Amino acid sequence: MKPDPDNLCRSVMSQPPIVLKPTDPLLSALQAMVHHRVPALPVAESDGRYVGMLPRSRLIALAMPRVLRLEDAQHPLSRLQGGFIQDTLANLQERIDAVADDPVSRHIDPEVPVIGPDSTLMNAMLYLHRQRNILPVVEHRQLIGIVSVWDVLARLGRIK
Amino acid sequence: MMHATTSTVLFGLDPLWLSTVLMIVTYGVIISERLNRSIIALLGAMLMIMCGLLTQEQAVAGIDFNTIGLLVGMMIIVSITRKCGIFEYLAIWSAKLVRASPAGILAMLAVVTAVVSALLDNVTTVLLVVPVTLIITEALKVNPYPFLFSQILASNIGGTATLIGDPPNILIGGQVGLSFNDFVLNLAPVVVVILAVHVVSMHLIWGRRMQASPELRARVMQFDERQAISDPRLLRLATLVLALVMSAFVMARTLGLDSGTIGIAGAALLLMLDNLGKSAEEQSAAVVKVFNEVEWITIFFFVGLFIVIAGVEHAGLLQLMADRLLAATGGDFTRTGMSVLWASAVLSAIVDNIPFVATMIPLIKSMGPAFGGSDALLPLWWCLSLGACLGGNGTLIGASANLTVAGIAERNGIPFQFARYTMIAFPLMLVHVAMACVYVWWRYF
Repeated sequence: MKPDPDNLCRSVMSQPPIVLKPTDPLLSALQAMVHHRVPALPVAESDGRYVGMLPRSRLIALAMPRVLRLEDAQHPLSRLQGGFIQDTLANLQERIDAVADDPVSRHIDPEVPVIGPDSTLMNAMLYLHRQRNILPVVEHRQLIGIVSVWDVLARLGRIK
Repeated sequence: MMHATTSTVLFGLDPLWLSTVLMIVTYGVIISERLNRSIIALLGAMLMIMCGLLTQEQAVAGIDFNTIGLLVGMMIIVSITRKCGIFEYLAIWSAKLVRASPAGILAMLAVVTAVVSALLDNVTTVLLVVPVTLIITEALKVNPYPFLFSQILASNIGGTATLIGDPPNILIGGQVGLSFNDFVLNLAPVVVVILAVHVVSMHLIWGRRMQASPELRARVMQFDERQAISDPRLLRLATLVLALVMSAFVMARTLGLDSGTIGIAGAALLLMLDNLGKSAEEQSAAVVKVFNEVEWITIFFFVGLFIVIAGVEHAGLLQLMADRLLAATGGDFTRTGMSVLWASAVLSAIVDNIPFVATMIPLIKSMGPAFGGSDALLPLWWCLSLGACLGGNGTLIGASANLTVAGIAERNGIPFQFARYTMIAFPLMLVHVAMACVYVWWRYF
């Protein structure tokens, strides 16, 4: 039996609004993310080779004290409730300013799962269900598109 | 104490030699850290049984419930209590008490760490205090290294003061039957003095040169410690149970209760209070979460170790070693005490002190007759405890709290190397042990 192409990621894949280069400064990546209102942006070399994803959660984390943004799997005890800190917007801004010129490659999230165009649709659905908003679609190490929650929801809602 | 089981030993091998080899290999692998210590301890333990050195019944009899019960009980109590935020509250409150001056905070956090360490295990203490410390040092824009360094030493010093403060004490207290009060009355006096010396030395090495601008200090002064209390109801329950457990420890003799019973009873009571009124599903989810936070690696490590030691004890090795040690010190009580103190300090600085302490306990016990009964041995227990607990400060691998702090530091971009730590910590440790040495000599010998 031949696989039905509609059960593959290829069928819901779309193109990202913008692809970041590893050397792009973090601040311009942040601005692009706000401008396009996307939850994450893919990073690829100029020849299309996939490097990683920069999620907006990373940018939120970078504005906080470092110890709060560490997800310490070994020691759940060290996860601190930081509500007592009275930081102002200016304090948060200071932390972002400190990393504004960093290349985006330094801040990509290594945990983001990668799917292929011929991965099953259900595979992507499960990742999206587990709080991933955007998945990079990679074939032969080349970034060829993304599957986002919007791509799937648009199809489910019969929105053209 | 030779046993009837000796005739069934594998291939008719000499039980003394076989058990010695098993113990040396087990300890060797533990020290090499090639295999998780709980795995190797359990393997060594089961080999003791399979080789016919112990029956299963004798092996189980070797597992000291007092130690295991106290460890598990305290781990459960702590895993529930820490969630209420009281320890973060204490750390922030103490920083504001000294008007957020960096030198003042360096001293205050050492004292807070030591006090909390005396009541909780050291690893939990540093896991609670270090993140707050990093928030404070970031706000003050000061180097966090001295603070973390100071807290490592303070946690091991503070833990020395009580029965429940440090695993060697839990072991000694559990197996020898020493009470909470025995530990406090005999160890706390010298621990307070050592802590004072530690705070002063931290000030001289780092504190006196630390500075932060008034604006940055104002930022810390604005921290609202009340916001750190995440669950006021839990705070009340946990405070109640901790107070009950502490009073039970203090009155243990009068109540006729062993520390293992008190630990488990406190844990069960807190679990009950925390789960009252929840649905069956919520209860099992909450209880599973708490049980998952019990450090099973430590528990199974202790279980395995107890059996390995029971094996060598049955074969007569420990009696032999005790006789040798007595011969080496000429049967002189003072010399024996000093050897125990310094040997445990130096060994604890370089290897895991638990196997050492666990082996030393039956060994010292078997010296009882030579020194006139088990009551006469009391000073030796204090030497063992002071040496093993304080010695842990000597190097970065000396105690698990040290590695925990170094791990958090590295993940926060603060380099924490072995050599840099040891260069300052080892001499300080020697000073602390020398103070302990003068204390025990003056008080007991």
